[in-house]
Amino acid sequence: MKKLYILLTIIVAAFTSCEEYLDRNPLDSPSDETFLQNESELEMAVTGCYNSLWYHPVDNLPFMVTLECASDNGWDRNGSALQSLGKGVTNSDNSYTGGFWSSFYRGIGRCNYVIEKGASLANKMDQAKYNRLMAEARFLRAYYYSVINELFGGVPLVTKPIEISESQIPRSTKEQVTDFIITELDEASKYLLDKTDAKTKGKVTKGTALALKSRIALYNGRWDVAAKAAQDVMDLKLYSLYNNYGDLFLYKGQNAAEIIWTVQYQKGTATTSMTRCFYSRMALGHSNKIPVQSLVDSYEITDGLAIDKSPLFDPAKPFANRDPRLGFTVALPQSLFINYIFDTNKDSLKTWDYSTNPPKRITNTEATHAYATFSGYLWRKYADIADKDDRDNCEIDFILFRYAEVLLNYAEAKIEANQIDQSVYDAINAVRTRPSVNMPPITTGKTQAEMRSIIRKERKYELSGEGFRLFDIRRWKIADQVMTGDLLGRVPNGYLANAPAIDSNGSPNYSNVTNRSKMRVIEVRLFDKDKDYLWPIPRLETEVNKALEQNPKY
Amino acid sequence: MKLYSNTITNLKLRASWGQLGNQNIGLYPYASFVNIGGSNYLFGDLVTTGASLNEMANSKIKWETTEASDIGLDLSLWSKLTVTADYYYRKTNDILLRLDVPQMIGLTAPYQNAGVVENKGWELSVNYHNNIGDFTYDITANLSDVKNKIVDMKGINKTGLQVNLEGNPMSSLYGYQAVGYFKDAEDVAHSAKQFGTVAPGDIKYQDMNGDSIINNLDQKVLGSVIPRYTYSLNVDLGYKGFDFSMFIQGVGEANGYLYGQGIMPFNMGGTVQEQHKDHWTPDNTDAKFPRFAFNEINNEQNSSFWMKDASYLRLKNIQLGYSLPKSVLQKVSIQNLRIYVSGQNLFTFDKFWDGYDVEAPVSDGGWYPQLKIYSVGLDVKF
Repeated sequence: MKKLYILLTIIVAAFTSCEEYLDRNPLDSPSDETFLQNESELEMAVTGCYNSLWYHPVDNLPFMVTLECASDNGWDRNGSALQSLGKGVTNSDNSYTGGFWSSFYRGIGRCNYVIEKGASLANKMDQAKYNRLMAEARFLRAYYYSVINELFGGVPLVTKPIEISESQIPRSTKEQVTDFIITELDEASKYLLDKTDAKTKGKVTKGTALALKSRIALYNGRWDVAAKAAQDVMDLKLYSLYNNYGDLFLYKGQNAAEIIWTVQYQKGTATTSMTRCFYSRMALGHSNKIPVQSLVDSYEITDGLAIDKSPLFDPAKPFANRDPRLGFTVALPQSLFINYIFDTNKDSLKTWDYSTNPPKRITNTEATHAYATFSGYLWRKYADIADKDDRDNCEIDFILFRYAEVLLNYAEAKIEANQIDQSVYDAINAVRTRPSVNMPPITTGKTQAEMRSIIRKERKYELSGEGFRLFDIRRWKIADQVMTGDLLGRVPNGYLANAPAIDSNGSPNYSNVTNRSKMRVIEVRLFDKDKDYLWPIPRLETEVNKALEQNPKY
Repeated sequence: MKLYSNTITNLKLRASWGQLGNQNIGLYPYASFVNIGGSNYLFGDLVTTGASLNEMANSKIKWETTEASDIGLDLSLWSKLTVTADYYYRKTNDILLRLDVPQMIGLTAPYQNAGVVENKGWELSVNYHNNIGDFTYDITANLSDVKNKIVDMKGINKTGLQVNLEGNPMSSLYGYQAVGYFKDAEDVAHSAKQFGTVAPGDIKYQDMNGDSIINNLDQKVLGSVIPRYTYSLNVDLGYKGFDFSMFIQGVGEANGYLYGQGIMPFNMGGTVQEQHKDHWTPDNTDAKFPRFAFNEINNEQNSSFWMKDASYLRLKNIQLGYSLPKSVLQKVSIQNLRIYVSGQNLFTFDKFWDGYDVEAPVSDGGWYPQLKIYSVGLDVKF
């Protein structure tokens, strides 16, 4: 009998303890409930918010640089969702546009978690540090919202962690989201770092918040706010234009005082494949994200005139005497690019290899490779020769904000507000006359219309290849002109016989070019002005959130 | 009973039922945990540890279970003919699926026990072996079939070339129904609007919902990639020192699909294959391939045009050998000496794309095909 009791006790004990014993939580991950209890946890969670900057929608490229392919400056050769987007044949299942939605909402979710749950630390840690970390999270949330708000045009404004049951949220208007972003930036900029040093590079600063404010205000027609924010950045006296435009986007320019904020990269942690995508075939790149002919023809001659106006333009030497930013932005035919004289000319069967001294005459596969750049041009920005042996591990920090953009934001806002004073000329001229660019200054006395044309062209020359163009052609409402019809590359075995007509926005029209029919048609683009000014809300998102309204004609 | 004992040498009826659990459901999916170190970032040159909440939790998660029932028959007649037949039904419940939740929550959807998939199938195997004097033979034939059906996916509606839709087999091919080529400009003008710049000679798709625009609402299940009626035949013959064996296998009903560089001309602006010479032109309207359209996407949509009948009959293996008589070998103290010739994958009868292995997976053709192998051998045992 006694034995039986012992046995029963064991059995009962075994069965009662069993459940709890097996329900274990991982020892290396705290639960949602117990996290964010101290300073170091807040720091980790804010770092997690920054992590969403490493969003690489295609081919391991920074998201901003991929946007160039959805504009009239560039093209993606990959049969990808991005290519369909640029071509104007996309739908609401497009994985490229859908990726922006999900990735930035993921970043926003992380920020919301920090902002909501971190509040309990307000009086439990160093006040200044608490304020700064919370301000960084608020800035990042505003930044992520700014990207999707511009691209999708008004998005649901989620400002705290939500459950599935709370997720039937309609879109706010683009105006409402812009208001939110600007208010948040005003609040955050009070507490952000003034400047970064070698240890804090990559952190958001006051200058970053003001630069974003000027950008978003400009994008949304709030001229006074945009000009004021840009002026505030100038008044910080922390930033100045870098003297070597070409180097700014290479390893050499990484610590330039022009750079306001970058996405950070380092081998072993996070890198990009810009090298792989931008390099020539000779240099073992894929040449699949490329600039096109219309960008090349936009750039002025060194006398400040367009190629169809300047007496200095020679169709036989189309790249001579051009705004030097053309050659710094684009790898041009017959220029030295990553050790080789680059040229896709079909008759150019031999080329020079400069990796040896003296240079060698070698076979030019660029001329025969089926997948050499279709336009005959390549991006030179961010294609550094230092990466030639490790083409999938580029660690150049990608610039999200730089001083030249702020100056141009300032000028454009003042022009649109019709407050064209000397400061506007100074801002534009600082950018175009900097050493290494040395273009002739814009002389005073221009009308608003003339200045509008000048600033729009200047943004194209200065900012191409960095992801700004899509936003610019949308807000200027010129996308339906420049994104329609034949997307052109070079004449495969020659140059244009004469200059195309360049319009007030710097966009070429090739109808007067006598050998137009010889130009390579890369693709035929479509653009529906009632539809393609906005990206589609992802279809699945509209199915699980019935409150969400799709953009027109998707 | 004795009456039949020489005829029916073995008879067995089988029936079984079982339930199997799959505990491979990931670690700790039942609670929300903050991931530390999975969302790091760089400040200066220093990697800084980041922490983030990435997934939603499901506190009610449990194992997937599969219930299997089987009835079978084993029969032997005259110790020479063996027949094995089976019918089975398998149903997998509580399959873990990530049901879509709004992405603006910022977290990955949790796994939920939601899907139900069933498999119904039968298998038949017949073997006969006997000899006529010195001539021995052994023949085995197999035939089987399985019907796979998704019973419940909780309405998950993913798009892509292969989809899991309720009422259809897993990974079904999904796309537009091609209805030939556009005949002329008038045909293009009077048909539903398709993709990009469309011209005569492009593939025309069926407008399923009749709204005069071809978009994702016009896609449908085109076919299953799970083979039906798989069969094989194995023959072994022997006569004195000679031996011969042959193995044939085949599939009665299947679909194959190639896309991308594998089959589409000028894909991604690339190049063409020899077989693309037979492309649509106004003088060649019944061509094998559509009009040459450089960098156009209309013809590259997922459609029944690129789907092919992947049923086949293949001589997998054939071998003829001769073993020298032991009496001869004993003199040179060799135990066994056999010479043979054999071949693998010698013949295949199929209707698939030229130049591709009919057993190719749904792909852009970027896979290593099966080889045709001829060999001559000598086996010597001392």
